[in-house]
Amino acid sequence: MAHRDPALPHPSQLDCRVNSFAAVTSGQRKAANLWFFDSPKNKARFTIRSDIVFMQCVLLEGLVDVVRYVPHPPAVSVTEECRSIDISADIYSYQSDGTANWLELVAGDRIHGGGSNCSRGKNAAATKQMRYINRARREIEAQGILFDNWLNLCAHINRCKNLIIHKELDFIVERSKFGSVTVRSLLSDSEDPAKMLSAIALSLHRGLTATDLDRRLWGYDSLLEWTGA
Amino acid sequence: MSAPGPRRLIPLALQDLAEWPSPDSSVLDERLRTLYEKRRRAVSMYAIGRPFDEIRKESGLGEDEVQRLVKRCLILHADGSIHGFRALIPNYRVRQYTRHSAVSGNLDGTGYVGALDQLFQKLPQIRDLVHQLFYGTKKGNVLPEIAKPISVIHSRFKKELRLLGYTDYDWPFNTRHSGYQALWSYCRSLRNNDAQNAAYDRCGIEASRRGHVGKGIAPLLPNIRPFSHVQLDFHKVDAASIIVLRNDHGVELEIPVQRWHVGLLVDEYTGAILGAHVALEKTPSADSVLEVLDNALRPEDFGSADPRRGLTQQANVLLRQLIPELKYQCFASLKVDNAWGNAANEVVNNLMDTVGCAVNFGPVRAWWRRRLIEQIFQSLTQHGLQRLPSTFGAGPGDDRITCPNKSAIKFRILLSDLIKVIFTCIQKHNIEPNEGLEWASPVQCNEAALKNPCSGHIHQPLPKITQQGLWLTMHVEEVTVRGNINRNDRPYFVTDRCRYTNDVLAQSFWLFGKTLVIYVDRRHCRIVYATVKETGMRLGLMIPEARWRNSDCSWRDRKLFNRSGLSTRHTDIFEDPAELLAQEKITALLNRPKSRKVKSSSVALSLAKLNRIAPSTNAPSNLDQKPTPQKAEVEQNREQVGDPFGLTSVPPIKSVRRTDR
Repeated sequence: MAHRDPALPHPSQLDCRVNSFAAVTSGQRKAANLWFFDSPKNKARFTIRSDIVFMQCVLLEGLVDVVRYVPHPPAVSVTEECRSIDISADIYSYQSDGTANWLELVAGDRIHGGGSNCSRGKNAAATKQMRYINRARREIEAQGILFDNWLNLCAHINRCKNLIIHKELDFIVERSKFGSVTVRSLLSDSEDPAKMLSAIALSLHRGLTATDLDRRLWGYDSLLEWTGA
Repeated sequence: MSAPGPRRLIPLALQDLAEWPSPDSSVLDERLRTLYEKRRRAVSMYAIGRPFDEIRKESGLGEDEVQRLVKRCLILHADGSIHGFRALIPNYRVRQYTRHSAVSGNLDGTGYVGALDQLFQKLPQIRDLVHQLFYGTKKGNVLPEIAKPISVIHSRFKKELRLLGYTDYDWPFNTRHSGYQALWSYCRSLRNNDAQNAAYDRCGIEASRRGHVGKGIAPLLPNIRPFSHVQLDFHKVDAASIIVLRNDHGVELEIPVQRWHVGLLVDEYTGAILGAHVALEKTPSADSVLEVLDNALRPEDFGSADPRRGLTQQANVLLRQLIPELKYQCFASLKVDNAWGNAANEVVNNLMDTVGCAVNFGPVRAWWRRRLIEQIFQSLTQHGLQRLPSTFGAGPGDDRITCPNKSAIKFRILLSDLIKVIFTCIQKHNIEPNEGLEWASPVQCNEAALKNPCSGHIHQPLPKITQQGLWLTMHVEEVTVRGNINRNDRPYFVTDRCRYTNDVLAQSFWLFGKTLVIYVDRRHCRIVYATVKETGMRLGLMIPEARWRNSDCSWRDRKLFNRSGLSTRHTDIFEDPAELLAQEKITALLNRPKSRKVKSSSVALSLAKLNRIAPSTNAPSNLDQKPTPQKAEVEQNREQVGDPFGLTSVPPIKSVRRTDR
């Protein structure tokens, strides 16, 4: 039987592989939810604990002004009443204008400025010159459509991350410069739907094009518009 | 006329009556509703500062009564807020009854209301004891007991009271049942007020885990389109089956097979079964997980003899077969449990590198995270395997169980028969309407979603180059090139005690000592590709040494062979070790001692699995054969083919085969 050489990855592309077995079977994760996620923004494979942090990470992928983020960063020591307390953020995010954010995600409703945990977080963020942001579960839940769209778009990007798709990307940019174009029409002109979907997702990811991802499910009828970026 | 005074009774924070909890008065009967509305009007007028004369004229309630009602409304409720307008319902209790007077019963046995609470206030150590006994809390060196009956708690309660000097004239000993009913009611209220705590201590760990289900909180992750989230799980097959061997005398022996597993991949939104794999293993391995995933992606057709065509011999069972446009269809996330097979590094990493999805491992023992797939397994089992005579039923107490292994032998239920039943049920699940989808079938839902552009369901196949050589089932490792230039030993490498080389590597003496990254096909260990780690130079397909060159042995099974030492000691250079191992197992089964109890065999399961990889006539050629034809037919067949002694008559082989790729 003849064997074709499969599309094997370059050895350097294997460096992002994680030790999932150790993470899952570790005795320390009795109740935690574990997500393994390839972040196109960071070009890294993350191990994320909890659904809410995972959702927030996927939402950060959709923010063009966020250049990178770090889930579950190391704890920071804060002195309070003559004793040292370790506080950790859920995510650090870094914007293109240099702003660094300390994100704290709460399972319940927003903490309205009060609470000892909130103030500790603010103090810890201040020691690292970061802006303190806390988000409640309800706010993240309200962005369910946006999250689902970006989850699917990230999957499109990751599927072709080892392939060359600059032709498809250039095609999309050129078509969208002339006016809005639907996903369906772009796919109809492509030989490989996977590469075209990946290029469309990348154009949205990089802010070259835009479409309504907040209220509509991304699909064939999504209208891409050139942003001029 | 009394002038409106300052409304001191209502604090500033509660001035807005719209925030007060209020009942649904439409459910009250007319009399109660009239009275409630009158009272509400009075309290509302009080809150806005109307004079009491006006309030009396409107509602008929005087100043004292209005103030009493307002105070009732402001009493704190157990849920943390105030009672609010709920307190205005006639006979509504705002406080728990607390007895203040001494306990003195009547001749008719009444008059002891609140006696237990009074006793607990007087003797808090008795209350603590009751709590400790009810919740099974460990205290000191006393061994905690779980789920103590109330009667036992009552006995201990009485004993402690006696030690404290309580006599027959004191409550509870002066009542008919010594306060048993009061204690029982108290314990019931403990359970109602703290059901989760009570569930763990009185009903067991599974009951306490169920407390996570139905909390009234919507799940955080949205499930709003097909192929956003898929679930994968394995299920132990709930029926016994056999394999059939023939010994040297031509006698057929039916060997019950140890229970095996079936794995499914299911779309969370439509419930469609995307992939299925029969794992002939005691515990599903990483290979089995990858097989389920590969089965969902790759458009494999079931051959005419494949039992996966089911009882109806239909080729369209899985979603990608029923909707061919969905071949190679990918998904955005996969949810699995914490089984070791799922957590294997190559499962997670290969899947993410191929499909690009995220992978979720739910909290430990949180089956409700994959409720859909558990429901599907239950349905498949109830409608399929548990209806067979060789069923293991729902558990040891199931009346349907009557010696499953014996039934499997009696009714000649072969392993392939069970596979047919399972896949028939899978097909039925995919094409039949179900209530969960508003009486549409999973296939119909997918077809409708594909036609509806607002559904978000699109064709998202793998890239074409990945489709050509799906490396989902590749094992990756690093090896070092060996050889010796002084002795003119050409370059090669060794992995799992097998030497590999090819014409490119054999000429590349500069690779001595260098590290190669090799990609081994987990299904066929003879298929290995190599790349130079340092430069990424591809060396192409490698050639293994002779004894593995024609073997369909898997990478994992070869490791098992090497562990058992078979391949090194007993094999001739051209013999397939897999076939030899299978032969050894057959011999072991035929020679196994006969026992009164019909036990299933793990060796038989291994043999059935080996039959997949070595289906030639040499090794397990007599597995899963059709029932022996009648003697006259056999004689006739022999004569017809010119074989009067039956030397060449071999029963037809029926086994699960993979098609060549």
